[in-house]
Amino acid sequence: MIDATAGPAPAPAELIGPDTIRITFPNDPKWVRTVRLAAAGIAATGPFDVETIDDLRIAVDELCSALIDAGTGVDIRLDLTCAGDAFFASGTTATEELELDSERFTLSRQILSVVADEFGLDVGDHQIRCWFRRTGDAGGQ
Amino acid sequence: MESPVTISTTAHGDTEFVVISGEVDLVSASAVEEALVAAVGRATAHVVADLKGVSFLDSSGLRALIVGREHATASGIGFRIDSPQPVVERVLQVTGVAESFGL
Repeated sequence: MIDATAGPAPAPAELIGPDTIRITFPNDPKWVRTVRLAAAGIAATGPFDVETIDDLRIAVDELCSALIDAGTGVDIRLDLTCAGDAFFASGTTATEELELDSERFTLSRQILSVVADEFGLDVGDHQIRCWFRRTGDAGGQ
Repeated sequence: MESPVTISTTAHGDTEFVVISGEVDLVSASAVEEALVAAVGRATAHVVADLKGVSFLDSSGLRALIVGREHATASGIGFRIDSPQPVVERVLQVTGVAESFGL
């Protein structure tokens, strides 16, 4: 297993709550825009200002793009949770990739390191999982 | 599905302007890259990517801009970005490429 986390990976249970919205969408880039809109709508239920919601749109986009790039073409499952002052996103899909080292993914990691408080990527057992966490007042730079 | 981006090109003197509007993401980045590379091919001195109308840019879009700049550099053509919105400039700044685009 490759653990490319930028910080300690939270237990998956931390990313799921009673208000989690689960979106399953085909591995097709055309749906990412719709997912961004959904994420912004969910974030708008929390204590986030416009700039933070913009950051969340970017983070969700990068997460989905990584899953699409690495995925085998099967559906992508995304869990979005707005709880308290935090927004969590976690996505999974099937993969045959063991490493994600493209230049675009390097840029993606750079962006996520700023627009999210912490993020992670785990690949193993033919599955890839990407996640990030962002709070309303502590994240970003 | 409607394209999330519109691209127009104009020439003024020795400069090719590529005016991009909408959202530049995994879907639309290839069209932006093609337009920028084509503009570099036509340009005699400079290419300007006008991003005033771009409301979203992700790593795919950033990669397209970098490819355009790389083609320009290889051809001895100047390349800069003009008028990015704050949400776009933030992506350029945090990835450390803003200065290389003349920002």
